[in-house]
Amino acid sequence: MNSSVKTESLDSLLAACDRLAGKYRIFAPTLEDAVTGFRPLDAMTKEQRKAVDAIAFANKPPVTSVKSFFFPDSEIYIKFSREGRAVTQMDLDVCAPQIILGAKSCDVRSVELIDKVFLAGPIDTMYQERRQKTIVIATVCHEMGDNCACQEFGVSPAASAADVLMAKGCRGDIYLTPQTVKGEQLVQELCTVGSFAVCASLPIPVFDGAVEQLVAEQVQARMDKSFDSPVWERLAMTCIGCGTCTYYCPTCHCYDIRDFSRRDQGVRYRTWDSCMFLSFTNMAGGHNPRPTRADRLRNRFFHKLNYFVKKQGELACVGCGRCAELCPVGISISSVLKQIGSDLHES
Amino acid sequence: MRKISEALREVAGRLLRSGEVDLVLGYAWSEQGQGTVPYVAFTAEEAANLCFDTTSRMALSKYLLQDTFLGKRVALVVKGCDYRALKLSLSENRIERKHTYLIGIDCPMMDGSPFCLICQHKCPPAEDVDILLTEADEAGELKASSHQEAFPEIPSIERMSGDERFEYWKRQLNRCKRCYSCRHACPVCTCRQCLFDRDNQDAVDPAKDVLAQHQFYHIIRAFHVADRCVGCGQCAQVCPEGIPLHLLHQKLQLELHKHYGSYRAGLDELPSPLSHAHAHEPDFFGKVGKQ
Repeated sequence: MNSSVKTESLDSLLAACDRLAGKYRIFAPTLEDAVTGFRPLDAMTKEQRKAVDAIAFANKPPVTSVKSFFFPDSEIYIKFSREGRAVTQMDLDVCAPQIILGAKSCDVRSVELIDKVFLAGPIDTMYQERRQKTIVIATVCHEMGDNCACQEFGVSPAASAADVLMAKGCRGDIYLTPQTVKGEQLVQELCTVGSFAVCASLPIPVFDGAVEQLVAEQVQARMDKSFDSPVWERLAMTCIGCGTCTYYCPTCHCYDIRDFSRRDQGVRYRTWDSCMFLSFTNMAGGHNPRPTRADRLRNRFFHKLNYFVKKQGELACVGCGRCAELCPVGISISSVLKQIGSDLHES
Repeated sequence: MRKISEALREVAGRLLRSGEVDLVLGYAWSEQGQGTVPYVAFTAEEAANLCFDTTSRMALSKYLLQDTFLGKRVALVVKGCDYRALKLSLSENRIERKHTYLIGIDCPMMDGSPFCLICQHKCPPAEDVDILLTEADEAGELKASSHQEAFPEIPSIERMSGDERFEYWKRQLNRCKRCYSCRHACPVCTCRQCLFDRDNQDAVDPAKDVLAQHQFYHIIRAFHVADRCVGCGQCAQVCPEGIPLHLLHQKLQLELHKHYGSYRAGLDELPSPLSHAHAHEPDFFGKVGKQ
């Protein structure tokens, strides 16, 4: 394993991918109405295909993370129809094998964190199936983006545990380095349908380590001390209570189970839910254990920076910077870390 | 915006020092360094953090409806569009004017907002605010653009065939994740409980996939605020998916003016045209055949 191959350009890689379209659904980051996100390669316009290069190799992740490929925003458990008194359960669409081309280190790491929740017993079989059927090709970053903080959270911008690492040489040539068995198989398949040559792997950019990594236990301890801090009340005063932070966060993974029926057809499905919404903790009988915005906001940051550390031993943030970029009122992991104490980087 | 910011800090400091208000709600530099974000100053020292510039887009008046602000004496930084939204809440008796100190801003127009190009009410009425701050010597009267110049997308969408238009909105709305940032940022979307937050709702499916009912959410919301929209443009500004929701609202404004005259939310007195009906008004829903 780990022998790299190279092809002359991203176009030639995409052309090889096209030839695998019968076997895989292939997604890559591009633009749609000026917004970055992953789109199926076979449904892209010419312009969208052209845009893949710049966005896949940008030094920041696209707006939407890769989590939806493993944990879709809505996913059906059962689907049924009724005729007279007979109820029939209908077949569900099977998740096709898929390739995610151009994920970022931060997003790859976020999936490993969600694994700790969904793949620990009881195993979430729907997630597991998508995980097994998905091959992730990650690009490397050469610089930190404006809101990026991956290194603080122990993520290397230039290395990840993706199935295949993809790098771009100075002439636009593309280097693929498989890192897993799945990745190795995919690279072999690509070689049979495209023009690739075996080569030494491209040296990945080195980051000088000037950024000091946060120590999970220290952050957790600091959070414990700040539970009753007025900080939460203050942040909640300007929080508008939308779910942007949760839905665009690559490590948020909460969902709600719902039923929907019309006439003689119905589905039971799960759909993303946000702890920033009042309804998230609303209980039968009307009691709500997190009745105020401050309660909900504190809970979200405690989940990321305290509860997850206690349960899983790691911080549930990968420093992708999406909350910093998207929150309409500028509340982010970084701004919270700053507010709960500047002594985190000391010692 | 040096003058406005300096004057703002001075007024806020004075109000907080004298105890005239409990807090000042305005804007401060974002810690991410991307313009300004809403900020609450509780002390005269904190008032020094306040500032105002062409990124101070977020409407603030809606915060006053939150429990954390109700019952407090609040000084509110308010620009023209935000004042119109505030006036709706005042007229609906949701907020008490006597508990509110209004720091009006003669708005210098926000960066890149098409709404500001057509705005004719940048400044809240001087007689309705407690103090009015202006950048005076910088303010050369800018000529307002026409609606078509500011929103060229609207005529081009109108020219599409029905199928094209459907595809256009389907593509845009399919990106929606129902984060509801448009609803929460909208200063006139002020229902105590939103239709879409009801428990066990039967009418609207909360699913988020591409076949979900996002179009119902967005169209219902557009109609609910049709005669309340003050044109602040926040709905589209905060949307993480870049959905041009403001076009829906502006199109409805044009229709509203065509059918109901020139009612302007937050400037003209209530009732608003869609909150009451006259027998002679057109009936778009054609109840022919229904009893």
